[in-house]
Amino acid sequence: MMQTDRLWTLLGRKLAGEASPEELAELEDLLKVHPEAHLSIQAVTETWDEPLPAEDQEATQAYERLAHRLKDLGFGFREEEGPQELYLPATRPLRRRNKVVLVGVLAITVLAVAIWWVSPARSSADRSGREASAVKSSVSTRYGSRSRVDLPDGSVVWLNAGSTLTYDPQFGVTNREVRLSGEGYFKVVHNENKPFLIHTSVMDIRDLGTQFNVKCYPDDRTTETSLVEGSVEITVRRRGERYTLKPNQKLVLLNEAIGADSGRAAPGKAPSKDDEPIMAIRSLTYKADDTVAVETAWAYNRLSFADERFSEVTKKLSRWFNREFAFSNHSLEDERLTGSFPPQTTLEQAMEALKYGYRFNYEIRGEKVIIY
Amino acid sequence: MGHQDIPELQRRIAIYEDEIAYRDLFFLLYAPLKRFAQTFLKSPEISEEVVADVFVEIWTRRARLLEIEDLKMYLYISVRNGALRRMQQARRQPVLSLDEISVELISGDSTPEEALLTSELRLRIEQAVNELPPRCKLIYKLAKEDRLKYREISRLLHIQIKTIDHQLATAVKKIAHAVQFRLKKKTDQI
Repeated sequence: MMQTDRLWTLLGRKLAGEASPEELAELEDLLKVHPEAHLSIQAVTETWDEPLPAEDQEATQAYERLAHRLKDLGFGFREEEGPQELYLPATRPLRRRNKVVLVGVLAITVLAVAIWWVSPARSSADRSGREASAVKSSVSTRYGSRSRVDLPDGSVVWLNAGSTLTYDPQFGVTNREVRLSGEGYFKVVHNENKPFLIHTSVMDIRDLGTQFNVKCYPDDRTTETSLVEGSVEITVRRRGERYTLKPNQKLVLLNEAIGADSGRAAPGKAPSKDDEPIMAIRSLTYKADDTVAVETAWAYNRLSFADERFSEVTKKLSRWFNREFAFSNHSLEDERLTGSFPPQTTLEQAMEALKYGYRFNYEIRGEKVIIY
Repeated sequence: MGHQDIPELQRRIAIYEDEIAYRDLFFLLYAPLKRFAQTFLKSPEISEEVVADVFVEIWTRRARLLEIEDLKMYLYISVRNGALRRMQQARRQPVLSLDEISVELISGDSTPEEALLTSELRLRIEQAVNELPPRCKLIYKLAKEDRLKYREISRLLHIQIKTIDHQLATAVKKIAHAVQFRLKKKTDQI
């Protein structure tokens, strides 16, 4: 009897994670002389280890009430619920707390920006299984929304607005290849035997273990790959050349059609900052006091740009806020803008802030924003 | 996301004012903390309020959050204190009396593949757990569901580690006996 009491004491300690290696060995020995206790010990252990039911629904409601309370207390706190997975851990040490970097001082009140959660859309054919091998999975984000995609191999892709990521049903089994249109931040689990390949319309990116951003919107002037950590190998298809990036470098490739277009639009104009080379490897842009590069700020829920043409900035704004932008004063298109906005900044707040720093006017007409 | 991530969440909240980390922390601990509060307060609404009070304080004092050495314990202790204050307000016994609490355990997710834990056995175990004296049951619950260590339970309930060790052995023994009894009866029938 004394001996079985010892058994229960040791089992209790083992379950609670309090048993020493000696005690675990002692428990093993005791079990040998008490085979009759095996089943009940197994039952107690299984009961102990049973996963608890998730109570997310109740927690979600409780969190909404809490967020509401914090807002009432005067904290700029979002009430919006739903998965908010766009955080990426900082990869560089933080020197100072991030502040809004913005030309002009502006008090920004925080409002909710709805982030739509887009789950991988599987076609019905996929489900029926008949054409399964031929059907690709794809995840798309609308303008104004971003999403996180967890790939079967453990790699994670954050998709910016207006982007599509397509991958094979065999992804992770026979290959690790995806196709991207738009912008994605990749955190790839490295696998020596199965390289992770990203195809865009103009370049292919092969991961060598790593975190990086790929921006390849069809309507942008450039296609860019920005490396944060690790190493990537890029093949520029039309040039047939390969480049390897070091951390904090980006490869910028001028998109052919648009590049030719802009050349035509500026006849006889002296070479200016706008005349970008066809291809360049540059350093990522960091703002003072910031540890996150401008190129990847979107993945941290921040809308950011540094010394970018107004016409390019409006493309970013358009995707971010899901509005159409038009210039009625075309000379403004070549203005260069810098700005960074915290999460939850509204379109109106962003436009007011920019208007304060640069001389222009704007008007919001429903879904359209006119700049003059 | 698990309890091992709490220090990282704490850091993100303190340094980045990271609302997502705050939300993750809430989702990680809301359910166990509320159940813990409910042990003393019974009312689910008041229990939620007590937990929310603690989380409001966390956000209010986020800039100094890194001064807290063990955030998980801090939250449990704050919830305990909050619950005791509420009891005082309701003119109930303000002292933590472990004999007057009502401990509710949640039943785990059943996995159909498990051959041993039939629904009959499960019921049997549940019954044995429910028959445990409140103090013993609370210790069992905190060790099992909340995964608290002996020293954490000791700090939280102001009881000696020796007592916890003994109470948990008692709980395990009673549950094991309930199962054994069941198995034996079944064998006898055959």
